[in-house]
Amino acid sequence: MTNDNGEIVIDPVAMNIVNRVAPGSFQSGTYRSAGGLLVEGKIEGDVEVTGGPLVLMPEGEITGSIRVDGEAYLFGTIGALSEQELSNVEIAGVVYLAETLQAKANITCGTFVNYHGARIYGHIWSSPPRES
Amino acid sequence: MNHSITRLVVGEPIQVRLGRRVTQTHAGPSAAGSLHWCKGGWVPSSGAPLSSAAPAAHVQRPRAGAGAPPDAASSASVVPLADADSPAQEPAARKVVSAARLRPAKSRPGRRIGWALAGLAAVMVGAGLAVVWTGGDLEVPWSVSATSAPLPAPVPKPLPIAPAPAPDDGGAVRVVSAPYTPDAEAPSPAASGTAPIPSPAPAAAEQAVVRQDPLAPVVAPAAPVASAASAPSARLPAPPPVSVHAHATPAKPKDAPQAAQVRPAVILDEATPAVGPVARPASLVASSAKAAPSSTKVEAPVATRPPVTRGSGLVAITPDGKSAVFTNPKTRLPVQYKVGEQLPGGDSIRAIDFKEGKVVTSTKEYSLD
Repeated sequence: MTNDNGEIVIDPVAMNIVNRVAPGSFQSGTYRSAGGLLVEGKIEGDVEVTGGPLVLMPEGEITGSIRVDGEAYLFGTIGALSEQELSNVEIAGVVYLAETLQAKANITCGTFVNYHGARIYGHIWSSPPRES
Repeated sequence: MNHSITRLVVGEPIQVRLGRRVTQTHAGPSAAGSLHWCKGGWVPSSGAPLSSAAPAAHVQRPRAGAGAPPDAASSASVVPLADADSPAQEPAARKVVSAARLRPAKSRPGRRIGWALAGLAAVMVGAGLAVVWTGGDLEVPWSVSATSAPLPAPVPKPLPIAPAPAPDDGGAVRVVSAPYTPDAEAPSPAASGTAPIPSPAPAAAEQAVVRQDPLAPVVAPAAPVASAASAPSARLPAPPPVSVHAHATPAKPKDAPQAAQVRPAVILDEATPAVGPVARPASLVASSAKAAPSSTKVEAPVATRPPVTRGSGLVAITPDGKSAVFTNPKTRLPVQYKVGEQLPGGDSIRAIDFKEGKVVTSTKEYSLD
């Protein structure tokens, strides 16, 4: 998916991204996506993604808890729940922390791949995937 | 159908830049399969061993000047790194790390040999320079000899130290500022303590010593004279009767008659009869030879030639040179005088020179106005 220049091609069909929050769209409350989710708008509330990756585009913004059973490509902004409480991000697979990411959240993931420039205010826990 | 819907809802593939990945170039000694230094030897880390066939082959203590163990050098150590693209699903990729990077810097034999050769060359160059500087003279204390033979102990040379003048000696050179007294009044050598003129042999020896050792302190010219004077063989019964003032200035012509009346002329550096048979140093002889003509030139005219005053009033001289015409200062009239006659001033004419136009009287010399 990624090449030597640090770029990735987001192919919705190949990655099974079936849902999209278009730019300028606003979602408040819990959002459950059966399949991959591409966020270019703004979501305030919990987000649950199953059956596909979460792609937070650079212009997308999520404020709330995030749960993904697959991979996550984070380019956008993850806001804190309040000034004293960070958001919680749980990624079962690999999370890619791109250079444009700005997150105020505690991240729990199977594996994370960090890129220079990513701004993360919070803890990162990485745990190997559970073997069934 | 679903693909079409997805294309319509989500859109076409998008290429997004992730950035420059944060990676580690070396996993460190604790990585599985790598080597680390422990208890004087390279041992595999706690992870998977490099080779199960010969695990103890890597546990070798490297000798001094030797590189890494042959097995480690020949077989590349393998450090597993997680693959970025598929860290979880795909097996971990393996990055080959050159075994040369694990070699300690001290164990490179080529560098040691180079340093050894450089040191040897520096020593040889230094020895050569020392020999060149000393000109092969190994007696110089600070010279460095290339040979292993010990240097002979430096023989202390007696320095030519001028002995202190004896209290009765009065110094080797006397400078007399008092007026000259005749020989009859000159004190005897025993009484006056005038140093006798030294013989040339000790002085020559002293000069030879000084020339042999250029580092010896420079001795004043009076020192050899004093040392020679202290030698008993150089003592003479007759004292030098004349004291020499080296910087005597020639007498002025006007003061010459008075000086001639007061005291006789002094000839500088003139050999006295008492000193005659004794050979004098070459330097003194040369100096006296140089000084003698000048003194005679100066003193001779002073003693014989009286001061000449020029008079005025000579008007004409006859061609035969027998008479001259002078102006009488009282009458202002010309008067003719002959040789032997007395002029109005009181002096008598002694000679008349027509060619030079001069008339010499007893006290004055007249020339044509």
